[in-house]
Amino acid sequence: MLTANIFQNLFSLQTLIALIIGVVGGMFIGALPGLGATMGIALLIPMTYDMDTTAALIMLTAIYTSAIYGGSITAILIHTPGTPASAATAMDGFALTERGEGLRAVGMSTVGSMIGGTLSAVALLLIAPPLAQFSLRFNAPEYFLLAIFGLTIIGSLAADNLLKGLLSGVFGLCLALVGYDIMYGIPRFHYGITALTSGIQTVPALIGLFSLSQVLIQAEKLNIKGESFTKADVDSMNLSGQFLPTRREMVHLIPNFIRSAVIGCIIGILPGAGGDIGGWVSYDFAKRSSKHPEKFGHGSIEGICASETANNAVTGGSLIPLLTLGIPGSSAAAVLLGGLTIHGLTPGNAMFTVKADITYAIILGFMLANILMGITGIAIAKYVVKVVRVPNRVMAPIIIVLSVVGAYAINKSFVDVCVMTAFGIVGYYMRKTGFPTAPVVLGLILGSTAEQGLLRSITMAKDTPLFIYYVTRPICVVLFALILFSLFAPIIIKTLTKKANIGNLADSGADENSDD
Amino acid sequence: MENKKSVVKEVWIGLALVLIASYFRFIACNQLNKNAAQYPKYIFTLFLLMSLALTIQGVYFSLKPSSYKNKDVPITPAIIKYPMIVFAAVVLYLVMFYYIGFFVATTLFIPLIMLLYGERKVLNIVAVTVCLDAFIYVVFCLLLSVRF
Repeated sequence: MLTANIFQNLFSLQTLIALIIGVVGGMFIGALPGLGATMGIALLIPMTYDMDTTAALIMLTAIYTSAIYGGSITAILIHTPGTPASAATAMDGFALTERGEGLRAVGMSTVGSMIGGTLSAVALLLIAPPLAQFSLRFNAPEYFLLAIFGLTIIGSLAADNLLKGLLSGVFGLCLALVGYDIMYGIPRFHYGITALTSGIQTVPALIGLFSLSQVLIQAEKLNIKGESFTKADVDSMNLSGQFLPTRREMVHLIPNFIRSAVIGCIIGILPGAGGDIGGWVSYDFAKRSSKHPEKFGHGSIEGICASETANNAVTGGSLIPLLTLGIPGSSAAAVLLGGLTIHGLTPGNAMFTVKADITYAIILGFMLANILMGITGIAIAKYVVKVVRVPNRVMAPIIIVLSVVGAYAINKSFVDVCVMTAFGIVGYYMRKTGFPTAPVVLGLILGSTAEQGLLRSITMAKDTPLFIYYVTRPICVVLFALILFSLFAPIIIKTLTKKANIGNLADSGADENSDD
Repeated sequence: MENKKSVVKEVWIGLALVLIASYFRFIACNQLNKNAAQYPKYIFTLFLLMSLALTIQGVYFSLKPSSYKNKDVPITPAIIKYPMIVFAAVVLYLVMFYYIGFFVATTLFIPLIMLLYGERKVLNIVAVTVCLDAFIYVVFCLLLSVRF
């Protein structure tokens, strides 16, 4: 019965159309420098309001994985990673393009992304259900610490300055205070605006923080005359030669595919560590285990295989803590959490029991999306790159208008549009001053969980001092340890990336302002 | 020199956040019901302490600029000029949306913003305006039943 329901959800006409739109749309969004998976998902969530839940979430997850792949196409062909996740790919990919082997590099990227994404979907299918069942042992104190853990790790990894990252998370918690108090039902901080008594809506906030602020960042280039990419730039690319890797190459690269997919999945599971870190770390491992490490950085097909397999494997990995514990593994996953919420899905064990028909359909849909992404990539990759010729003067009005419509559509409320605009300017200045925006969204989403968890645990502790009560609970002790670990995670990640000795995002031309 | 300027900026940001956090912690929270204020007090206290820490960190880096690795582009009037003009245009768009309706406001806003971005081809402006209006009408009004 469950299997029948899953396949009924998965193979409905609406779901299949949503899957195709997600895959193709994500590819184009990813290819556009400055736009990425996070912004694409934020912008498209409003269009899913009236959609069937399965179709909507399959579309959003398809955009996620496909945008990461799309970013590699421009990284390889014009040395401009559409997303930071493809920064590692840019070096070797563009070197191959310069040698007239651009199509081969795109082919490797297509196959690697498809394999990485699909394997991560398999990992999601295998790891998520038992982890969700384990979450049944969680009570108020554990949920409070889980929320804090999510905030500390995303805050510490998303910013260069730990304090700024954590402050962003706490700022999100402050924003979550607006509206009715969940314990006593008393309105707080609404300042007479009726619409705010139900709190700051997540979707308008994240559209403002990710989409409108990105338009403002891009507007800084208005004083620079001329287009970034001309027809001549795109036409000058050498796209001849073989596209897909040979059977011999594939056999030779099997260990690389598996290792990179595993690395990508693990890094995806770590909250806050996105595709860029997955790509770099996997690239480093591939370089160390290669018989030709000297080729890395100068057109190594192994390097492209490693970074592209890993950055797409991060997508499935990041969905594991998202679906089971409500802790997103990346900025894009944080936005996806907003998508889950508006479709009435609450992460946790219920997703794999009560809502199992929807959840498994989403996971299988995500797997299909990765396979379809590979097939579509083979068919249209060389045409996708032409999207970089769409100038800012066309993209900017489209993004602004869709941001306004998206914010309005959720509640048909003009206040939400104002909230989106306010978050747009706040997000712009946050990014200009080195404060990451992803922790704000997470704080906003997890605020009520943290509040309920803390206040209920105070009640549960009765006369026992709260800290003592917490340390007598084994899972809380583990979560305390994880919180401490998360505070040191940036040092560990920086050491790993530094060891890779492979430059940085700026060197490779990635858009540092992107959150993917 | 560049580092020193940025560090000073962070000190100001920290101080501004301290003021905001203090207002909410010591004034706004005290105006709430005692029960409803309990959790906000914790959060604003945390926010206040972290803002203080940011200020202290900024002061430390001001005194030792060599230990500060700042990647941020400084905020100068020249850099934020166009973003602020675009933002003002967005605010104007919202005002028009409120008073004259969504589709009329959008039809006026798109040409405005495209001209601001340097588009001079009338055909492109008309095409983007018509296509975007039509897309929103079909997707949001017809399919999603959103009434503007």
